[in-house]
Amino acid sequence: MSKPNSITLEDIVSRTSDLPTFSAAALEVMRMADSSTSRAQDIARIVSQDQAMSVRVLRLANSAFYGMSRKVSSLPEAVVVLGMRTVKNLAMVAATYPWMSKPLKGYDLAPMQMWHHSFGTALAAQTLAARTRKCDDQLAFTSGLLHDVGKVALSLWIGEKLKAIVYYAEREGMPFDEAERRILGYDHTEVGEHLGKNWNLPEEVLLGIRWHHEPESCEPYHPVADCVHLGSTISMAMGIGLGGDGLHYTFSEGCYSRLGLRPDDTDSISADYVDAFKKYETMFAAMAAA
Amino acid sequence: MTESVSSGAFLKQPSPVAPALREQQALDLMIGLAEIQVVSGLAKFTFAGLGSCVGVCVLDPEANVAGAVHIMLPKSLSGTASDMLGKFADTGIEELVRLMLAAGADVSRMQVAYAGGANVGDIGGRTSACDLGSRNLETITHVLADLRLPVKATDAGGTTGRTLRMSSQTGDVLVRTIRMGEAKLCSLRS
Repeated sequence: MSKPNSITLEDIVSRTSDLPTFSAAALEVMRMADSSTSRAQDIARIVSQDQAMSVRVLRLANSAFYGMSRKVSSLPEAVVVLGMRTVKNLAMVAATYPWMSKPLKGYDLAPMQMWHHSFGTALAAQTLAARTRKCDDQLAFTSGLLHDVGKVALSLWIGEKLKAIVYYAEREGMPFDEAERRILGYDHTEVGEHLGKNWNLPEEVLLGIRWHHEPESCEPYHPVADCVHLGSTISMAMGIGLGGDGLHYTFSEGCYSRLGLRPDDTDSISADYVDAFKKYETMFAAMAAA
Repeated sequence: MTESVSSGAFLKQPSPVAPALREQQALDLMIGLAEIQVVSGLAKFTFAGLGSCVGVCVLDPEANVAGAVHIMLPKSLSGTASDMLGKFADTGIEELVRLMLAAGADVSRMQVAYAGGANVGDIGGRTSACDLGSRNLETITHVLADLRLPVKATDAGGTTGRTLRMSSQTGDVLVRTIRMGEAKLCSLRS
């Protein structure tokens, strides 16, 4: 199948209307986590600069998931009660939910499915990072949350081609992302990396976005690529936000040894992961109301 | 009259239905991860987005007792709580059959169909090291054989996501995939 157009990665990002944006406050919160000198109350001050994000963070902090005995009424109080790391994750959730919860027709994703897969991958990647201690669990969460962001941009350009790409990938015996590259000239991980660079996302966050389907190609190696890869794989296997591309991706067997895991750990990790994901559904309900 | 019995980690109760309507309206049940549902009467079961998980549908057409279980993993892990039985192939199907028998079904009349069990990475004839789907299917095959339950049809394996639906009224089992759209897999009443 020949490449049907000559649209470049730059075109995808510059000519796609309705692309999501990342507020300056959200980016600053993301970068702060990388600094060990960050003071907890700085997070509250920065989040408060984005009014919409502040409202969502407070709604999340007061959701049934956290089971607070009294209402959390301010961001500084949320930081004290929930901790800086939790508030930082809530800020990332608040910054992405509004556009990730929308349908992505190009990938056959109904409303909420992109969100479920993104949050599910973030949760799994964070759990893997914490369990293996191979990388910072907040980095794994943020990178997992944004790993498929390229699909948001590419969905509009794929349009009705999804079925043809799936058919081509199956006929040629290649993974879906390779079929994307053959047909479109680039895959959703490359588009995601390009979009992330435009947003000035931290370099380590970009690694999970770019290499989540082939973590062994991440040079120099960084375990966040493996955490997001295995997190995304488990999320797909459990059918969390499964799209038209299904499970038609390569699995990197080496991720087990690189993360210090055994293949049969997958069962217990998956069982715990689904239990945790289900508990977060009360939080999703709070976001929908925000 | 439609009655439902549920078991599972994430119990989803059907909405209360007025007695006069119960005899006319089928319950519309979404079977979530690890859920088991058994209905005596009319019901429609839907499993959305099956990846490596397997949706198993069972019907006793004479007793009008239907059941479904959304299996996630092949073998129960140590310390499995009773409300988690639906998670696993080895415990989920046995629990489903037990609940159906309690609702008046007979093993000798039960018909089975299932779908799912895909693997990330089973591409171009290669088998993946992440083989949850294959192991789910292998265990399900053994459990059904041990229980002597006849399998009417399956749509399983590969790398595609599936949505599975079953109507207890018609017995029709339907599978939707991105390439094929929605197609009838079989009828558990014929």
